[in-house]
Order: sequence, then C-alpha cells, then structure tokens
Amino acid sequence: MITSILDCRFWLSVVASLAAAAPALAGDDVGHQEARRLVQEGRILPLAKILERVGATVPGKVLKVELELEDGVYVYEIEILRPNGRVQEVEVSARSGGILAIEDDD
Amino acid sequence: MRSRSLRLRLLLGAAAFILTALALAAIGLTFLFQNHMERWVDAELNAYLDQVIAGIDKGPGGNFAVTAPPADPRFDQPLSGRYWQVTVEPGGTVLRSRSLWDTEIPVPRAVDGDGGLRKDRVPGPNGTTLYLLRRDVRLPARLGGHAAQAVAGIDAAEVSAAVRRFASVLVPFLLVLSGLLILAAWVQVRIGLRPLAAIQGTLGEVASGKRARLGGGFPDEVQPLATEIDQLLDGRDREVERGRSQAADLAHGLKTPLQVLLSDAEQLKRKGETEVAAEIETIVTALQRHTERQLSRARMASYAANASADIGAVAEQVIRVMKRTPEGRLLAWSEELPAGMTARIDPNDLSEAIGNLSENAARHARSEVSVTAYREGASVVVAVADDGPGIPMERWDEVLDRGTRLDSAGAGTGLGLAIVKDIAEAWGAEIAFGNAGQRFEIRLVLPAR
Repeated sequence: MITSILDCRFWLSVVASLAAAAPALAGDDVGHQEARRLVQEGRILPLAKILERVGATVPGKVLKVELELEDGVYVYEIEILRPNGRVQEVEVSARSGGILAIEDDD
Repeated sequence: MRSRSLRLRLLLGAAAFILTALALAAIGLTFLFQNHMERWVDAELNAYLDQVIAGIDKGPGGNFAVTAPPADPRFDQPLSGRYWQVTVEPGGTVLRSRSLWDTEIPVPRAVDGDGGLRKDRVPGPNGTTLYLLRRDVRLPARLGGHAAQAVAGIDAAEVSAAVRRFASVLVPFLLVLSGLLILAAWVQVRIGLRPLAAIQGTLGEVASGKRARLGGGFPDEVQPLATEIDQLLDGRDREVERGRSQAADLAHGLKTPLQVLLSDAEQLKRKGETEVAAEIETIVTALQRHTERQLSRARMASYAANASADIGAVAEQVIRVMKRTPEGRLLAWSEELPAGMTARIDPNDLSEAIGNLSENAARHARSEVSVTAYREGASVVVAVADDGPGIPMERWDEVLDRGTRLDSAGAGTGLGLAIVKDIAEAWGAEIAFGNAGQRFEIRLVLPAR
C-alpha cells in the first residue's frame, strides 16, 4: 500500500515521485494520510494539540500548516498571521510540540 | 395599584404590546435566519458531496482516490472547518480532505449504497461539532460496484456564530424600532386625548362665563359627553330659574301683608299701645328689608356670558332719574362718561347698582354728586362720589353686610350697598372705597367687554 498520497488535487503530478516516497527524503512534505498514520502510531502529536501549544506562545490566525521530515525529524511549519499584521513562520517539533524556531522574531 | 392617568395607562399598554411583539419578531426572525442558513449550508454541502462522489476513482496503483476534490481552499487548510470524507466498502478504505489532517470523521459504515441523503451531527476534530451531510452510493461497475459513503461537513460553530451575529445586529435594531414605536404611541395618545383637554378647557370657559354651553365641534367619541353636560347645564338653569321665581313670588306675596301690618301698628300706636306697636314696626321693617332684598335678587338677571352694557347710556339714564327725586333735585350732579365704554354685565343690573350707589351718595351728599367712568386695564370703573361725611375706613367692610346702616336716621333700608355687592359678586365685579380730600367715592370695578 502506497502511503504518500501528498495531496489529492495533485494526484497526477505526484505520480512521478511515488517511487521515492516510502522513505521520505530530508525536507520532504508529509501528506495528511501519512500524518494520520504517524499520529495513530504515536510518533507525532495530533495537530490540534500542536496548534493549541503554538497558539499559547504565538497567538494569531493560522494561515498554512505543513508537516516536513527534516533529517529524520518530523517538523510542523506553521504560518501565522499575528494580530499586528505580521506573518510569521513557526517551526514546531511534531513529536514533542516544542517550538523549534520562530522566524523573524525580535 | 392602578395608575389614575389614562395617558400613562394607554402608553404602558402600548409599550408592553410593542415590546412583546418585537421580542416575538426577534425570536421568529432569528429562527427564520437559522433555517435559511441551514438550507444554504445544506445546498453547499450537497454540491461538495456531488463533486466528491463524482471524483471517486482508482489511482494507478489500483487504490481508491478522489481525483477532483472540491476546489475550496478550506478543504486544504488543516482543521479549517470544512471537510469531506469517503469510505469505500469492503475493507473500509477511507479517503479524506487534507483539512481533516490527522483526524477522521466518525460515521457509521456504508451499508447498502441506497443513494439516501442523511444529516448528522458528530464530534469533529479539535473538540468541535460537525454538521454533515452523508450519502450512501454504489460505485460504478468499472470501480467494482462497491458500496461507498461520502460525507461533507462544516464546523457547526460557524453556523451558530452566523446566527448569533445576525441576532446581535437584529436586537439593537429592534430596540431602536421599539423606541420609535413607543414614541409614536405616545404622540398618538397625546393627540387622541386632546379632545378631553379641550372639553375641560371649554368647561372652564363655561364656569367662568366666557361661554354659555360646550356646544358642538368635538370628535364623535367626545360629543355625547359634551351634549350630556350641556343638557345638565340646561337643567340646572331651569332649576335656578324656578327657584328664583318662587322666591320672587314669595317676596311679592309678603309685601302687601307687611304693609297692612305696618298700618295696623300705626293704629295700635294711636290707641296708646306704643310699646307693642314699636316692636311690631321693628319686626315688620326687618321683614320688609328681607323681602326687598329677595326681590332685588330675583330681579337680577342670571349670569350670561354675552351680557353687555353701555356704561355711559346706563349711568346717564340713572342720573336723569336721580335729578328728579326730592333729594337729587337739591344737588349739583356732574358726570364724566366717555362714550362707547361697555362692561360684561346685564344693563338692568348695572342700572340697579349705579342707582343704589347714586341714591346712597345723594342721601349723604352736602351739595354735589359726581359719576365718572374710566378704563383701567381689562376693567371698566364706575366711580360715584359725593362731598358728604364719607365712611370711615375701618367700617368699609361692614357697610357691605346686609342691613347695616351707619346712619340711624333717615329713610332707606340699609340694603343699597348690599344689593350692589350681590350684583358685583354675580358679575365678577369688585367694590372699592376711596376717600379723596373732601369727597368720598365708591368704585364699581367691572370686567370690560
């Protein structure tokens, strides 16, 4: 069973990369089917929990959520629109929920 | 406790009704909006469902997939609140929108693929409640003819938030509206009750004599009241008239017997019964005074709002008569009566009042009497002055009482000034006294016309 259905809309375009999907490369996007499997296996935290933790530190509106595998570590990249109008990207450890980096934070 | 104000009662009733009606309107409109909202959401979700079902296909690996999911970006944004999900039997392959991310919508497994459309509320991701439509279908033979179930859902909080927003706009609007309606009710009550104030004002005019009757011209609802009051006034006038004529009849009836009694007393005196005669005389004189006064009262015209008397004409006539009396013939009469001066009084009553004042002046004058009239503000003053001894200031009130005589000698019943006082009271006039040098003056202050 192929597990890396990245995005249904781009089914045809991702066909080519399917072969390389099984062991995801560094910096590769992880799709939602994979994310569900990872949560079920207990390897990462549910997104709701991640967003709750991020919201406590960096409040704002979530614009974009991506899960990436960087050097064997699952990292959520979350783009947040802050109340002051700035758009910030926050990197969160998908495993622990700890914030790894807040981009462009003074 | 019930309010005694009709206006307040009407206003409170209107306000209670308006507020109740608008509260019901608020509830009804919110319910309608919610209904409309749900129907709109149903249509949206139905369209998504159609698209998802049409998109079910097999990928190159032979696995099921939705090849052309709905294009709404919210289906891509994790936990956005818009979701779709497909379950294909057998085996229960689950295809989900990206927005579901690591969660799955818990729905009953597809059973028969009967094409039925169902509505559900189920717990969604992140503690939300999902409102969803689900449809059971059977896939085309090309895909194996399996039963499948497609669901499309929306965060129920979105719908209730929209309803809340609607209500939060609606309520202030309805409050303003109810304020305007209550204001309108207030204006209506004011205008509606105005005829009552009008009838009160007119009744006041009747009481003060500016007007004889309420008459017509009131709204249909108030006119019967005015008519009833007018009929009551008519009845009262008839009663007064009857009482007056009875009193006059009585006084007339007494006059001759009293005269006879007086001459009887005269005879008694001649027979030497002076003591009894004097007593009878005193009593008869008192009785005569009373009948005289009663007659003068009965003669007095009943108060009429439209009465009018030309002071110059009346006073000249009185003076002409006075000059011919035994007392008046010996005096010098002067008069100062501008033409065209009228007062609100019956001419006969005015004549009697000026006559009594003149008689009084003539009786006490040494050599001259003057009658003058002049205007003073809204009043007309008739002043009768003589060069007699006058009345001391401390006794001015006393002389207006019936039967008071300051001079024990001479003719007169002591009723003259009391009758003037009666007339003055009946016509809203006043009596004033004045000592001016060698002259004593009594003024009759009448309302001008």
